[in-house]
Amino acid sequence: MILVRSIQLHNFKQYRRAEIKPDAKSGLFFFIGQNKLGKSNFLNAICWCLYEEQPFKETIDQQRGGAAGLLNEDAKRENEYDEVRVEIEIQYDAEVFRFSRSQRTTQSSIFTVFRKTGSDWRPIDNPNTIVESFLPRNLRQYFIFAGENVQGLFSKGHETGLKKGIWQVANIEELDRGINHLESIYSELRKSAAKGDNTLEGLDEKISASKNEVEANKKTIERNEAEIEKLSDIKKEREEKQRTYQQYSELIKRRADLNAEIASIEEDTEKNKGRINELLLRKSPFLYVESQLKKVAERLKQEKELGTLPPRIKAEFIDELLEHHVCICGRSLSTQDKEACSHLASLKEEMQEIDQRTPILEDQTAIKQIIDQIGEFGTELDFLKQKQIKNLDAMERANRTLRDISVQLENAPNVEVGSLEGEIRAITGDIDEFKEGSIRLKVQNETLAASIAEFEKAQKLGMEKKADALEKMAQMEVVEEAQKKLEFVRDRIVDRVRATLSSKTEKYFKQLFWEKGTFESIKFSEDYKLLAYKPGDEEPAKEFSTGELKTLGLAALKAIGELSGFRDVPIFFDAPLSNLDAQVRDNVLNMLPDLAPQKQVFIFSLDDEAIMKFIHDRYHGAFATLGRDPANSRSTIIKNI
Amino acid sequence: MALDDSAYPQFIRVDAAIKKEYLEKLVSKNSPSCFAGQEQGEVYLLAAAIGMANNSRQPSKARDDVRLYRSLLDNYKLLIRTVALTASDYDVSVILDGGKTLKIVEEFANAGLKILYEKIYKDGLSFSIEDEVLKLIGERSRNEELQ
Repeated sequence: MILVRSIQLHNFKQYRRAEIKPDAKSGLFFFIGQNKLGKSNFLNAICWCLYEEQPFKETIDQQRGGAAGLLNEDAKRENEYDEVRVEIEIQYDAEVFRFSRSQRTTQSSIFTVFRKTGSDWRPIDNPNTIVESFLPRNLRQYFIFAGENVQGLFSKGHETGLKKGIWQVANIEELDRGINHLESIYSELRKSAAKGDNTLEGLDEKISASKNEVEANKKTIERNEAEIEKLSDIKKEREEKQRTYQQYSELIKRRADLNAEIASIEEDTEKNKGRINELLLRKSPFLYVESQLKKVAERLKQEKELGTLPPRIKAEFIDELLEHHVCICGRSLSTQDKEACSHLASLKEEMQEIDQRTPILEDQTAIKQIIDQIGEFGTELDFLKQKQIKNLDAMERANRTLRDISVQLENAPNVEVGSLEGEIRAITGDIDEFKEGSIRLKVQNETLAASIAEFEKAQKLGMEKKADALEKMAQMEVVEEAQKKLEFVRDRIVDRVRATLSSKTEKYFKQLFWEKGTFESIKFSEDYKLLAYKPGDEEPAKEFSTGELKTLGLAALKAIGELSGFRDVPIFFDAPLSNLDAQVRDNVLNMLPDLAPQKQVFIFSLDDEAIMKFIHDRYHGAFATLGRDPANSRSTIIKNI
Repeated sequence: MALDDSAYPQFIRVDAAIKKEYLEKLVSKNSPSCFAGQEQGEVYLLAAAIGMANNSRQPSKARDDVRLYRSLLDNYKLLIRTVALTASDYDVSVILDGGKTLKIVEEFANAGLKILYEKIYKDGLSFSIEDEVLKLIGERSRNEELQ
């Protein structure tokens, strides 16, 4: 049960300070006042406090000034920065809350909700949330309303708002939210279940393929190791052979060296032999005839000394004498002097003969040189001979060693050390390749093992997810079932609410409206469109008078108020008789006590004769009046009577 | 006739029998002597020197040619002239006549070839021309030292 314990206005528009304190938990509370005394603004104050809005009509003057316009004029005169504050104290079952909104001219409003704990008031978090839980903003129009606006309930396009409001009032929205929530749960469950299905896909094949690969690699590694062992044995055997052949190899090398040495000696010997032969053939003949050479040289020397050679007169000079007919003694010779001429001619012949022999004299020098060379040639020949002897010795030694080596090599295996080295190198290469291959495969296996572990982990997770998915599917069934049930319940409630709303609206309309039979039947369609049928009409009315609309609105509000959920929320009703003719006024007044029999209903009205009579007759004249403060004619005060 | 290269033919003469019997054998490849494969002309002139040293000459009965390369001739001109001059009692005119000169040399060569052949083939392998030459050189040195 929600009870208004007090409403306090501080500097709010016409109200400098005003407070109402209902003295009962239910029933009608009348507030009577002339125009401009702030009836609508009292409701605006409540709406401002709760929702920071002012939905009710005011005069143009009152609307001016925005935030500053809230501040009471008297207060503004005293202190233009004074505070506007509205506080509503509400009891909700055993708890008491105070909703407080205040604002200074230049600042935003401050909204606080306090909960009474013992004698203390403690602010609570999320004040707007608690407001929404008491009276949601969009339901405000069904609990705080003005008579002159009631007809607006069925203005064009009212269906959506009305449906939403009614669903909220009847708590159907909660049900719908529950259904939606179940649907989202169902959707989530379905997603999770689907994930569980997918996670295992292909894992078995992957694990199996990876394991097969690992096994194949292991077999290859084993084969590699067997090959390595086999090759290592062969290598060991070849190395052993190599060591043996190494010894032979040294002998073979020595043999090759000796052969080279012998070849060199032979070459040198041959060269020496050539030179010896050259010396023997070209120099030794002179040795054999050395004494003859010396004698020839001596004889030639004597010839020279004797002047036999060269000729005393050159034959050319005798030719010139003969040509110029001059004797050798200088006298002229005539052509007849034949004896002298003949003598000159024979002399010429003698001189020519001597001249021919003259070059022989050169042999004297040549012989001397040859004899000198004999000594040198002898030295060279001796040297070469010694060298030949030495070469011969060296050759013999080398041949002897060669023979020894040949004997040692007789049993040497017919394998080249070089070919063994090549073979060992090749085997080592093969072993290395196998080792590298095995290392590669081992690394690959490590990677595969990690992958398998990952796959298995994923598989395990997948299994868990699958189990979870199965569980989720089971849950889905439950949720789906629950959702269906809820939808069924909701649909039934919706139908019943709509049927109730329709029947009650029709009932109250008929109670209120003066012209009986105006509308025979009133219904709300599935989309909450108002359908009012006149007697005998099959089609709903398309046009309504203001009076009809207002009466329909009041009937609908009463019907809505009786719906579940917000039945406890107090109602604030401004100008209930506004724009109503006399008969409907009476009907409305008669309906008021039943508007909300178990609620507080606050009615703000002009001091209309009908209402004053009604208060007097039904409520012993109990009402409060809105009047001017004697201390300040601009401020409104509320006087309880 | 001038004493120049043209005075000596490319072919010198030798006793045909001696050539065949001694000279060809001495220079043959199978010769045990050091003259195997050598030029016939050069062995011929060495033989002439040996013939003169041994004062032994032998006229040819039937004659044959021995080739002597002109490139080798320079080395032996002095030898040829010495043999001819010595044998002609230093008659310079002899050496102005190529035919006379070579005939003298031919006679000494014939004899020398026979001596050489006999030394080599008859004294057996113990004979060595270079040993003989070295021996002569040794004696010559000793004589020089004595002088």
